[in-house]
Amino acid sequence: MHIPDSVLSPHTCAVAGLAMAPVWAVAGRKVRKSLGTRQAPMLALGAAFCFTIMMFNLPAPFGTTAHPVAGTLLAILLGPWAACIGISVALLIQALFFGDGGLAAYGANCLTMAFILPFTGYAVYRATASIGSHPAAISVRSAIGAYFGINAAAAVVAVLLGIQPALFHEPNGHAIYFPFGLNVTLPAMLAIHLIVAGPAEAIVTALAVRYLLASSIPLYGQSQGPPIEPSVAPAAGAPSASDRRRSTAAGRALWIGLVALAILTPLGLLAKGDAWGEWDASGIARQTERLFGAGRGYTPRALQSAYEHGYHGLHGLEDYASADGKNRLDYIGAALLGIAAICSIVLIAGRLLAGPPPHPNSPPLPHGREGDLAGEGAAQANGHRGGEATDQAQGSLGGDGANQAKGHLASDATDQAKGHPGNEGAAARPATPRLPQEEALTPSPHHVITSSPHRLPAWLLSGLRPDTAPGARRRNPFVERTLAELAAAGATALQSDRWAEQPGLLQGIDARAKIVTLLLLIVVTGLTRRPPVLAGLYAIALALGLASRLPLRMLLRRVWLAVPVFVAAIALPLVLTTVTPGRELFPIWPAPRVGVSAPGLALAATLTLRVGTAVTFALLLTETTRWTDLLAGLRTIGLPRVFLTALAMTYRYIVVSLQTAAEVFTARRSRTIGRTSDRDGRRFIGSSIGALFGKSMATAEEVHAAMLSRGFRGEIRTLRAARWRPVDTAWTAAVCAVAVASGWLG
Amino acid sequence: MTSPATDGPEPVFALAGASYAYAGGVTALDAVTISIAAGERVVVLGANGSGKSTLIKLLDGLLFAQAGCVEAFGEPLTEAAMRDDRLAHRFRRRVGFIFQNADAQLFSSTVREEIAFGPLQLGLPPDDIESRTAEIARLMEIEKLLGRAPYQLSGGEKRKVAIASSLVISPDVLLLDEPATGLDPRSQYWLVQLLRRLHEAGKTLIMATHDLAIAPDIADRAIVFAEDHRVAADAPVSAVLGDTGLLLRVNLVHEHWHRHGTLVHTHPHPHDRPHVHPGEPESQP
Repeated sequence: MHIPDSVLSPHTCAVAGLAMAPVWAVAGRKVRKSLGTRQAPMLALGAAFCFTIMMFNLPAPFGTTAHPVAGTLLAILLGPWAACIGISVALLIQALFFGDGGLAAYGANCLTMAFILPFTGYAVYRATASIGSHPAAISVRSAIGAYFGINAAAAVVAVLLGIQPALFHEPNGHAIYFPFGLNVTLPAMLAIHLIVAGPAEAIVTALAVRYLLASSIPLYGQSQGPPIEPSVAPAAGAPSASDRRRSTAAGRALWIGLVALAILTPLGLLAKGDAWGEWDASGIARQTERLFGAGRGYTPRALQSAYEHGYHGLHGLEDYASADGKNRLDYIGAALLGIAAICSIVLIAGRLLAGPPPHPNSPPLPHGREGDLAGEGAAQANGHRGGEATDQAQGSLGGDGANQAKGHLASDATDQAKGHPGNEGAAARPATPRLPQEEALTPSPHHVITSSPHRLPAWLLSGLRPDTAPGARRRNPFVERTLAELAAAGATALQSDRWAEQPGLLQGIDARAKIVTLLLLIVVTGLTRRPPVLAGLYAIALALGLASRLPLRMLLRRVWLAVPVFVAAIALPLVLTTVTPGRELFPIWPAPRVGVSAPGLALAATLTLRVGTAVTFALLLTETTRWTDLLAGLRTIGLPRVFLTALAMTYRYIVVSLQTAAEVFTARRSRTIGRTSDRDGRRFIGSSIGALFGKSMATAEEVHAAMLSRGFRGEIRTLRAARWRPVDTAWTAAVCAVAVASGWLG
Repeated sequence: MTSPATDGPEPVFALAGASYAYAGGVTALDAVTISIAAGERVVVLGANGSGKSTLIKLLDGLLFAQAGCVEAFGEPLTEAAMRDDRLAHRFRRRVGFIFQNADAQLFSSTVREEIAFGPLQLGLPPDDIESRTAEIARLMEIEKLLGRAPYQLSGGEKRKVAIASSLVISPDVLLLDEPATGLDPRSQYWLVQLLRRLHEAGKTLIMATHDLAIAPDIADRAIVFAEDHRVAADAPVSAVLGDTGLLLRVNLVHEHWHRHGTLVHTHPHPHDRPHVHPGEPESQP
């Protein structure tokens, strides 16, 4: 959902930024008033959580991926205004350090993800108050809100992108910025968010809300002491009433979710009604290309493959897509098909995400994580929870049973650590004979060791269990990859002061001057249309990097490997003659005739170069400026204090959050053997999200206390006093000259 | 705010019936009444979850008593008072806090910035900060670490940086939460020596720990928390450590069982000295 720079016209970015300005102003005022220093860490933690959660890429249909935002969660926890600030902060860090979402497009990204998303989600959450206010109902409502929130945001992104070609095009009709109209963007964005990102967001939100409620953390607008779930209080096994209540509520959650899906599905299809109608029978291939092109830009590899196999991959769609779209029955048929597809995907995904069926003897989970998973997913609907679970006793030797047991252990880690010794093993296993040395002692009755209440359970004393032996598992390092990405990203962020400490051209320039001038250059890059001028700007960017002693390899790699995924997704279809008519360079497909068009290629190259240049300028800013100087600079150019405090703390909490994620990951690794399956991976992610949030929160509270203890009052101070020197003036003048020159050249 | 007089040193902290409960009604402190004078070395003893850490946070103005009153340096230590920039500034200059979890305390990108954070927030002049950072780094033997990122350090190094970043503002009162946890014996010895020097320099030291072995080395007075979150004893360290019944009651020592040949028996067993069997002379280990 992150829009990169130069995909939207600068005008659109400006309008979106202007629209956000009053929102930020109001949010800043409201937050200052309503959130004391006590809640400041919650805000920053929420932002850090958003940041982290956005890195949990989930596999989506068509080989793409999608990620949740957790925006509604923040709104429910801190109120929509604070959520707006929190998500804006997370987005700023992503734009600054990871090139995820553009700097110039920052306003637009905030408009969708920091404004539309939390406010819609929160409004729906409030509007469904009739469902109830006990913990299960609250998590259901939060899931519904989250689902609507992320889809509303996706729709606005689609609109922002879709209006580009109509508003900004060359005389010959070629789009200057984003090339696809609403007819493509709306269905593409909504499809992915209705099917994948929406449910993921709903699940994440519900899990975290359940966790918060179980830990007695008041939600926004709630009084200090929320009703503590009865099942939390008794430690020993009493799974009856509360469990039943939970499962009925979860079942209701499932059905409400499905109804929501059903209501929304035709919306997605009808919105592209005209587009479907305009297609001729042979146009489907082109349309699928377009669909992919406008999709989310997280997996270039998957996108490439979708591009290569696009013609054959979607036969199922041809039937109704190629029919006369003006026929209402076709719409309904398509809608029904869509509902069926979504239902089955949700059911399957729910089953996969639901985690292993809990063991009949397992203690009630204090935080209801697993119960939640089962509830959010479709486990109940499939009737899996009760029946099958009983069959899979702990000691089962079957391969599947082993998997289940292992998954159970992994997801239960925290509970066990919290002093819920797994009595399941002791109960399910025949009592092992007492240890030899214990028997030999035969002490007097007063000193009977075996009377100790803390005797180790028998299963802990026995040797290696056959069911933990590694089996042949599917090789799929999905989870490993995602978590490796987390760690790498964290390390990159932490290392970012490395180049800033070196002497160099940009390092010697005042942070304020750099912020203003490099932002100016990004905007100029967005306005430039002629490839030679763009190339010149890119050359300037690289030269500045070299003069600042940044390694060229880092600049190229960070920009051309990590960043323009989204751009490639958009630019690839552009080269086709069917999308950009013009002189054909070489054919790709005989019938319908598709080839690579010369103007299309130029257009795609321009778009890619434009984004690459903009991102390089952003990198120059962040890599040559110390983090504290950057914060102080942002302060002096007028960013509100509450925003900066949140930004400063979020930066730190991201590290906390990443470390916690890595620890959870390591803890899991240490308890599993061999390679894990994709299914286990998804299950693990699902079950660890709640724990991740809770753990990060505890640490974040402490970090904030440590900052307060050393005199932190919300203002960022730096060791080096910022001084505006002649060199800064010279630099600013030079950049302005470049900006004017490239503006004049076009 | 006068400097300690020659007789009857000024009370640094005075708590009268102070109580605190976390959200959800979990009591952490129940009607605690204590007074700590300037220059004292006090160890707060108690089992896990008895309220030691909460007391320390209360003394640092990070939490505020919900009932009763807390005074610091003769002035009430309340949320309203800490919202006042001037009062908060003065308080933060005088009180330093070293957290149990060094990871949480270290949030800057380099050790140098970490140490400079406190003085910067409190508005010390830049030149002063630079020289202080260098001096404290020398004292802590962490000069080589100044350019490193705190998260790269070992546990002992992190603790040293955490102590340095609190000591650099030269607080009158130093609060330490489980200062020796996770330190190897050599680092523990180093810490004990450092605390001794700080005490000799006139600092007030208040330390929370459940480590009975280190208590006599670092403190003169012990405040013991029972598991009902009340003060069970407030006496010299030696008296507290000699009172096995008290220590058993507050769960700081446990029934110790072992066997001699085939005989198995249990008896209480404090951890700071060789244990003594009931009925045996103390000198014989």
